[in-house]
Amino acid sequence: MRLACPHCGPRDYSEFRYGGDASKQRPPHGTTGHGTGDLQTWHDFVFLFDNPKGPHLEYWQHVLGCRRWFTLTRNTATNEVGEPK
Amino acid sequence: MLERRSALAVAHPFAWAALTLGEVRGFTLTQVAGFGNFAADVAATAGALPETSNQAVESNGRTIFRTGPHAFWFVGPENDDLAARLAGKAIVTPLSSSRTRISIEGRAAREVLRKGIPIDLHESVFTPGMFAQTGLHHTPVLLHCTAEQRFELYAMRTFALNVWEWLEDAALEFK
Repeated sequence: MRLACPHCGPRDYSEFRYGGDASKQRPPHGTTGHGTGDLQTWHDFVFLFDNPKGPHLEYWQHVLGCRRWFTLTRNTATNEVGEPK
Repeated sequence: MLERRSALAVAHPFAWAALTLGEVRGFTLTQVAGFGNFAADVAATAGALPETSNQAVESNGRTIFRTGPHAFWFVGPENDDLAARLAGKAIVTPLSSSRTRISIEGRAAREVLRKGIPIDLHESVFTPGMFAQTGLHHTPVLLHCTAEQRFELYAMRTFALNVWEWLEDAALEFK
């Protein structure tokens, strides 16, 4: 699989690090700072993941190159990737 | 006065008919990054900056690499005072001691690099002046093509001997 880094251009998948589901919304912290808020919501955000077959919005980092983070859509069944953003 | 010791002090440079492997010592590597319009301030001090992420620019005795959308590497002579001159204008990080510069030269150079670097290194594609930030043997390297048959690899200091031994091994068939 080859991914297109927005800075460096198309590169081998081995130069990248997968950063997880980019469609998840990070829950708000509570009023008393980090580590507070609704614990069930935070638990679900940190530990529970969908495992969809088909298009999936993902974070990736060009870890061996410019180290930039970006998002792209990848089809988990075919590894067909969309445009990076 | 502290003496700079090469990470490749125990390595053995060699020169065969098809391949020469060596280390380039005595350079200053300065990383310059910033926010907003910092590039204009940097250019006023250091000269025109490269626009593209794959073509190095030679300017004022330095080689400039665009290593990110908002980051540049300047490779200058050993006594380069660029870091001091850019202080306050950008985020300046001296990297001279963090990278080891390995030179690979000869008609087998591309063939050796091709064994471990997953980018197109054909001489019609990766031409003199071009560079790529990529990986070799699981470590990040910056590969710079300085002539049709000559390359320089900037490897992280702590991985430099490892990269060197990988290159030695990959080169054996050309001895």
